[in-house]
Amino acid sequence: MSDNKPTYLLGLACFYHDSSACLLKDGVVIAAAQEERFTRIKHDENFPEYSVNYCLEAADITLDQLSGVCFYEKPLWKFERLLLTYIQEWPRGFFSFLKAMRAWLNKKLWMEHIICKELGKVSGIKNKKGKSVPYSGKIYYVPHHLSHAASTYYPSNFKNATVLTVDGVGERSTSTIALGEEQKLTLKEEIVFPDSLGLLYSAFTYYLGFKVNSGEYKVMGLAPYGTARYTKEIEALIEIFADGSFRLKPEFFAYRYGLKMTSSKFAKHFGRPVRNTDDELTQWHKDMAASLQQVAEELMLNLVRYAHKQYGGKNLCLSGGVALNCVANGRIVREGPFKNVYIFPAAGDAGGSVGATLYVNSIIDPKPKAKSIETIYLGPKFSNQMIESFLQDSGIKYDKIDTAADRAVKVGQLLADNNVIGLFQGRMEFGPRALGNRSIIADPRKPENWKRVNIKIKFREDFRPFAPSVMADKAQDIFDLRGVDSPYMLLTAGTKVKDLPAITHVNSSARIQTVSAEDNKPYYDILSAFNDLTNCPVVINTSLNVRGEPIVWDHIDAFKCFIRTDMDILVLENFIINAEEVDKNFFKTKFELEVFADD
Amino acid sequence: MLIFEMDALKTFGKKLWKGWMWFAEKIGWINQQILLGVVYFIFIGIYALIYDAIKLFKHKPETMWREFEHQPETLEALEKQF
Ligand SMILES: [Fe+2]
Repeated sequence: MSDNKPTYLLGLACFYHDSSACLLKDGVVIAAAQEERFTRIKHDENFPEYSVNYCLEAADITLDQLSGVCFYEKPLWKFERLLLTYIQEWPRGFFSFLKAMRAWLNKKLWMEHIICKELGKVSGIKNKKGKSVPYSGKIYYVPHHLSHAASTYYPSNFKNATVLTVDGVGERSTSTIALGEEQKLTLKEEIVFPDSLGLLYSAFTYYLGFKVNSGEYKVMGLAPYGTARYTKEIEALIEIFADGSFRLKPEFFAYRYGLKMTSSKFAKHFGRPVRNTDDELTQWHKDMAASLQQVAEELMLNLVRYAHKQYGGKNLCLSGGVALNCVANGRIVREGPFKNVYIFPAAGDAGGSVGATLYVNSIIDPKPKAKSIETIYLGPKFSNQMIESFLQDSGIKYDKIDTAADRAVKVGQLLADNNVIGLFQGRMEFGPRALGNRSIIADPRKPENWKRVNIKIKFREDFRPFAPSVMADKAQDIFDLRGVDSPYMLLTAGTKVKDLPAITHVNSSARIQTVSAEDNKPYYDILSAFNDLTNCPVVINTSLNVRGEPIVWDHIDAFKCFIRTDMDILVLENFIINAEEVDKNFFKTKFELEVFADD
Repeated sequence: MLIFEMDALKTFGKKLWKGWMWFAEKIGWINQQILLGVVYFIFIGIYALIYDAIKLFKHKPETMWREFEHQPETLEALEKQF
């Protein structure tokens, strides 16, 4: 550090769900990616070898140039919490104990060894016997909620802020309040396992027949279709204290000792059994989702108000899986006591890798930084040259556009001509949302586009509306954003206009991405070109993937997604591919064969 | 002829080894379950009884917020897994 060599820190989040890696260079996040994109396994939890490889390649460095590796939790704190829970729940936690201990004895207790070995495999350096040489540098273990807190405080660029993190559970914390003061971040208070807003939401996710850790979005999406008529019944499961903190009544929840989320008493309380995944979603389920959402929003607002009462200030930073609940976020912005609210886009566990490195960096080099993150587009990028040779080698017909300006005009025109477009450009987004670089976009004014994207492209059976991208400078005219930007699609707000059914929920709200030229110029220019032709600064934006798969990461995946769905146009950087000129069936066979050959 | 017999012997040896490994793995698994059972019902059990006794004297809390302790603030503290 004393010489002029840059300091590199590698961040890791893995072995629970949503593995990721990131790379910090002199205090600035320069690369980050989630493993699922590369392995094509949704929420992949394995060691993020591809993401690590990408991060090192992006900076053109090797493992030995790292000043340290930062892991997003303290494994032995977690182990301690686990043992304590088994003591508290003895003897009914026996089977859960057996399952958990197998995982810990076989893997998680040897974290250091596993990380070093896995990193060694990525580096590819072999010893004389042909075995990979393990990583031998420093590893730092950052408490889970401190990682969450750092991932939102440092990128927020607030000098001083109150930070609230809320998730299922870290090591033992389920919610924390931290203070960020002049780049120093201190965790002040915590609520601990098993009292958890995230786990309450997950318990209902399970009860409503969705997958825990990924189906929470669906519950949130279901809520607008119901009426919150069961809030009293849900509140009966919770003890809420005068300061807004809460305790989950243990008799209703089984996640502490069992392999299920809820107890039989839970189902009895609501008078219905746990819904099977294939069972019909009735109005009752929708009403439950609506009620849960309302209770969760109130609990979240309670936490925010408490944080403000205790620590004051005008800036709030949010993180943790619950901060992905954009409806609750919208209410925090509108009804909460803080003037400014920042939410890190990868608020879930994938963002832990970024937070862990940023916290370690604040200890290594406590000097204030101008910026800790340049952009949220932190993933891989593919050059026009690479894309053209792929298209040529595969015999795919395309149109080449020479300049960025021409491209924006052309894509704007295609949108106005009612085409559904796969848009692949620049670096991949970090976080769960496609923000214009791996997106499917369409004209939001046409109801038929909405249906087509739903049924023939995303293969969704229902008619949920999509999220809109809107030019930031026109957003306030269309949405009730109260002067706030929502660059990461983390806020919902009411729509002020009536002619955009494709992006408006039944409760007249939308989950918005405001796009500025600073954040993403190529995308902004497309929206602007579309607006010039139609006077509509909004497009439908949904992620570029087929149902059940992660968002695409490279141009080849993007093309595969294009041929498997009913998209009209695929834009790969400066190349435009028209479905009318591509025999999708021919390529389907060709690529699927190639995939099998690779296996 | 000799080479052929050697090969057969090798194949047989490999099979035997594989069989033994399979068997050893199963035995190991059963062993692990028994040991874990002992740990659970004896060690965890004793602590559970002590815990229940202490719980009787605990007051009902007025808040679920509590002070966050042991934030690692040095690189040495960060290097520890606990
Ligand atoms: Fe988390």
